[in-house]
Amino acid sequence: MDSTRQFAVRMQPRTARLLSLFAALAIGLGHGLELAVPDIPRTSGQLLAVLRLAGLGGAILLFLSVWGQQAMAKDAMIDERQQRERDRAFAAAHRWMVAAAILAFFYTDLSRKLGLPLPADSGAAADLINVYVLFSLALPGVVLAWRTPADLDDDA
Amino acid sequence: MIPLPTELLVTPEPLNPPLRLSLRTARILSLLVLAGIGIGYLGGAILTDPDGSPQIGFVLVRLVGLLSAVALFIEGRGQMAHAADRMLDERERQQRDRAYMLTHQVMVTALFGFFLWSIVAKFIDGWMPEQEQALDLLSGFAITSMALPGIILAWREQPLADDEGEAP
Repeated sequence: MDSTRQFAVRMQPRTARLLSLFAALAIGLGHGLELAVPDIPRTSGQLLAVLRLAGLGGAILLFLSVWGQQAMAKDAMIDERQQRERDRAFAAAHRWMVAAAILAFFYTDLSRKLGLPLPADSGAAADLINVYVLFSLALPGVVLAWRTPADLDDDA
Repeated sequence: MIPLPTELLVTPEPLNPPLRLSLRTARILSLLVLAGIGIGYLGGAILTDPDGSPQIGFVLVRLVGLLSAVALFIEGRGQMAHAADRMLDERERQQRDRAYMLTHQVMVTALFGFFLWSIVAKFIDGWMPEQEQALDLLSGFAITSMALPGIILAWREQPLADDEGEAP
């Protein structure tokens, strides 16, 4: 992985795992609370925006990490074992993405019947798509970080 | 992770797909999936009847895409794309995982393209889906994403000499 590490943010698998949890929670809470409480006070709204931004920053950092870069590396830059790990990470990432899309479909359909909160306008929906894209980009790297054995933590 | 010698000796469980199609048929079906779902869902979302529902022509095109997707899903290549590791040999696992990698890239690119369009649409007052249409597009996106690994496998498979490749 040396060739991919030259331009990547160095990060231990443990850090990458914690960062992935933080990013998912921050973005989930930031968007979820804004949807659930439409007339949220201004200060709280600003705090949620900061939380979402921090989550997005975490996702970008994960994408730029050694794990994200291994996931995006070309075949010539990594050995066969790493290629297999990368390809398997993409397969897992695909399943998460499809599961999220199907969940979003059912939620949207249900929300129209049960009156659950939905994005206020197309701009807010586009924001959610942006988050989905960023998370999807970071996801293969996150899977790699979670699949790295704990005893390799110090070697990252 | 280096496989243990015992893992290398395990014979994969055979893959018995309920439907076997020639490579040519699978590829034609895959084009029908992409065209049917792409045109049926996107066209149906953009060009609606006055009451906001999709035009009947687009609904029929969607049906063609959906039925083709079902056929591809139960066909050998679709089954290979969704098979458990123990059912495939090392080479097939690699092909499957690479198909997923390309699928991921296509999905992210499509979504990113839509996100860029949402920005442009604000400035040029361009088309954006209403709630009902967004739901249709989302289901079309999810179905295409599930069908794509099998489609990629069909297009990456080398045709046999008689050009009638059996499903794996």
